[in-house]
Amino acid sequence: MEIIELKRSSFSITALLFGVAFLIVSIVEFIHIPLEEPLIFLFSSPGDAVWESSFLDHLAKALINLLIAVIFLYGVPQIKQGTLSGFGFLIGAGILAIGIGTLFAIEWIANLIDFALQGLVDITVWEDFIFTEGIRTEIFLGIGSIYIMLLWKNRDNYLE
Amino acid sequence: MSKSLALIGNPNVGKTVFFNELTGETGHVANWPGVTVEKKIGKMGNIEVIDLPGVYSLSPAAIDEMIARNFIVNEKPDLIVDILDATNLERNLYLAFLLKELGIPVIFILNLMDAAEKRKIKIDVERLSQLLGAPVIPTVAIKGKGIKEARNIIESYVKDNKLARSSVEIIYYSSELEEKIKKATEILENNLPKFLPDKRRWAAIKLIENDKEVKKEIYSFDGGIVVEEKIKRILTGTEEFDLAGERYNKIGEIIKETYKREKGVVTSSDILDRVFLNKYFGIPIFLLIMWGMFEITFRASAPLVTLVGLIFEEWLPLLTSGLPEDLWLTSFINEAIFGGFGAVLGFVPLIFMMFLVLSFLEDSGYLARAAFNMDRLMFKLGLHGRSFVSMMLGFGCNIPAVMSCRAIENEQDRLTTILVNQNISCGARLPVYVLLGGYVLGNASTGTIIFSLYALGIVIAILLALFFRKVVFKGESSPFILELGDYRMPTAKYTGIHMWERGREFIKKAGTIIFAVVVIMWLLQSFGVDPNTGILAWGVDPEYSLLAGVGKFFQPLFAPLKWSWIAAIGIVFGFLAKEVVVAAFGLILTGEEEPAGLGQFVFDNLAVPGAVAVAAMPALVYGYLVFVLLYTPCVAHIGAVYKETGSKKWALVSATYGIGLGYILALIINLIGGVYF
Repeated sequence: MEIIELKRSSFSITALLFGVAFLIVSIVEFIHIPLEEPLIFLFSSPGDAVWESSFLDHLAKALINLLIAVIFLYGVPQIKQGTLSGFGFLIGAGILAIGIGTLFAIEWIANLIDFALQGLVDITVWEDFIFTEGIRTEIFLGIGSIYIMLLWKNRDNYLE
Repeated sequence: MSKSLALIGNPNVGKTVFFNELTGETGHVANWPGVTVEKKIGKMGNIEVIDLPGVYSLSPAAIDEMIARNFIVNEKPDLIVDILDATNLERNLYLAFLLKELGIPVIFILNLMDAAEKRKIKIDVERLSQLLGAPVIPTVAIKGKGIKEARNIIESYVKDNKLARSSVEIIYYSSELEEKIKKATEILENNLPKFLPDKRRWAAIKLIENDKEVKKEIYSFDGGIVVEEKIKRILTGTEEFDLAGERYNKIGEIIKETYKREKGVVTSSDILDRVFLNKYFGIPIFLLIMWGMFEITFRASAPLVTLVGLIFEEWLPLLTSGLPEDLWLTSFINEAIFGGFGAVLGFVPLIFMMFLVLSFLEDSGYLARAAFNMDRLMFKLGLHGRSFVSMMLGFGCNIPAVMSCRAIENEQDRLTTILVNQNISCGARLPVYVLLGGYVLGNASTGTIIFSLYALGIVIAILLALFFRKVVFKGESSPFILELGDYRMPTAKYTGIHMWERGREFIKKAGTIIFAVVVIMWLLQSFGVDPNTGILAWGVDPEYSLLAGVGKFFQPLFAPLKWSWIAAIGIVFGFLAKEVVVAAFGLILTGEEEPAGLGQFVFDNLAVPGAVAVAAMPALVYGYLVFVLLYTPCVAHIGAVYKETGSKKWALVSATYGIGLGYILALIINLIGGVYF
């Protein structure tokens, strides 16, 4: 019984850590939302360039990370109690993380092909692309899949 | 002589998968109920196989159930194959009992055995077969397991002539009920000898049960009312419940003998539903998944769209470079085929990608959960949750979505759902969104813009449904029962078939109606009134072509929205099919002397020249996209609404209200976006 409680505690600590991590990513995305862009749009005059904004892109990503963080954090107290809902929240958040990772991976591969099709030869663009975008993809996919795998393997310890 | 076999069962037990496996057809399969709303026919050797909509009983409440029941009762199939859900045997056996009462030979397929195994359910198949008095074949249809055995038994039934109705074991009730059934049968025999002579016992039971359909059928005979009166006289009033009670008692006995379920088994579906059906997170997760779906669609298809674009814009035109420029054939190939038709084909990868993601979600069982979540919200608004199931089918095409409304029992709910379904964005509108979505907030936000349009469509559909139910079709909404199957890992085979089945319609449409419209538009573009001579001539400046004339004729209607005649052409021809919007732009572009990319060309020419500040263009573009979302989906949709409602009035309402709504919303977006300042 004590071992199970200990495992449940470790599950809940993991969920807490992931929740906080996603919360940080969400805050970073929120900070990067170019709030000035809608203002530029409002005060622009005829002849200005077409409004190209990453406002929505950052907002969407910030909200998604926030949602995953909240799901993890919401699950923490229930995980401690060993409820089925708690486990559902852990798995569900993991699946969403994998989903987002898959999305980044698809975007990454698609961009890679697109660059190749366009005959892009600028090495700095490739470096930046492979390192920053690629790492982001791996983090999401990696965390999500390892996490789910570990959870699922240990489900009996949790649900007992 | 060819024999007929009817496939029947409760909703979402895998009838269509089984049908596909037996016949090699590719009927639409999904992990949610209500996918089949009309009968489908296929062949297994010389046996005709009919896939019927899912039913819980033979007393129909909705149109699709009526189709199934009428076929079974009136069309007299030689053999019935009843698909049972192994995870939910008790409820499925009720229909099995009703089918046995019909006296037609029945074979039972115990499907979803893998899901039953996961739930630690053990079924004594042999004993079940003995108790039901018919063969029971365990299967996992989606993986093709047990199909061969099922096929062999069906074939042996036909070959060994086991189809005689006299060989069917009858289900007997208590002596008290049997006495009443006997009397009712005699009343029918003496008074209505021509009424279902081969199913007289069944008809008698149904009349005792007060079945509305059978009563309606006997009223069509002289003496039908007398029969009803005579039967009423032998009843005490409790027989309807007594019959159901005895059936459930027998089912209970069968379950006790054949079905063992380990207690406390938790499956992955139970666990996942804790979060995906959570009352706080269910809808946000649904929105997140929808956003992801459009992001994946847009991002993953981008390289393929670029490639197809290159083929039509750069590589194929090399083939015609040797032809004389003023030859009509050169113009036809370059403008109509490569320009107009190629513009539509360029989006084929995009459409297929969206259907792939959608099929994945559908086959996994998630879309049924999405409907469940939306039902909570819709029920609070007094709407029927089943409407949302039909709405989600509209993501593919609004026409089958309108047809799927047959599964809605309540007439007011059905009409409401038919009328609001057009606001759900179908695949044909997607190319327009992708073409112009990047000009609202830049390329990085295209996926989010597309998502916003789909979400707006859902919100408008819900608000309109609320309006129709509160103002036009008043009355109580019937409760919504949605069976949630287990989550399943979609198989490549069925997800692929599913994607192809929907995408194929797009290609078919491209090869027929879209091609025909493109040819007409090309002719209109090629001929025009020469400004110098005033005579109709070939190859005049595109500005003076008949196509431009059509655009300029309709443009004043859109003048308050500041849309150009080119924008008007897209809208006018888009009535025929939404894909034509892009084709029209592609065709006009090829008439340009220095063509830019298609998207850039449309963006540059969407507004009346000089009438809109560049900074206000995002709003104008978004307003245009919202209009494309909301106005009449296509001519075929009007036909479908007419067919399903049987009313010219509602077909007209459906064809026109979207135009008004789209116009008003585009005006509001223009106002907010500074188009008029």
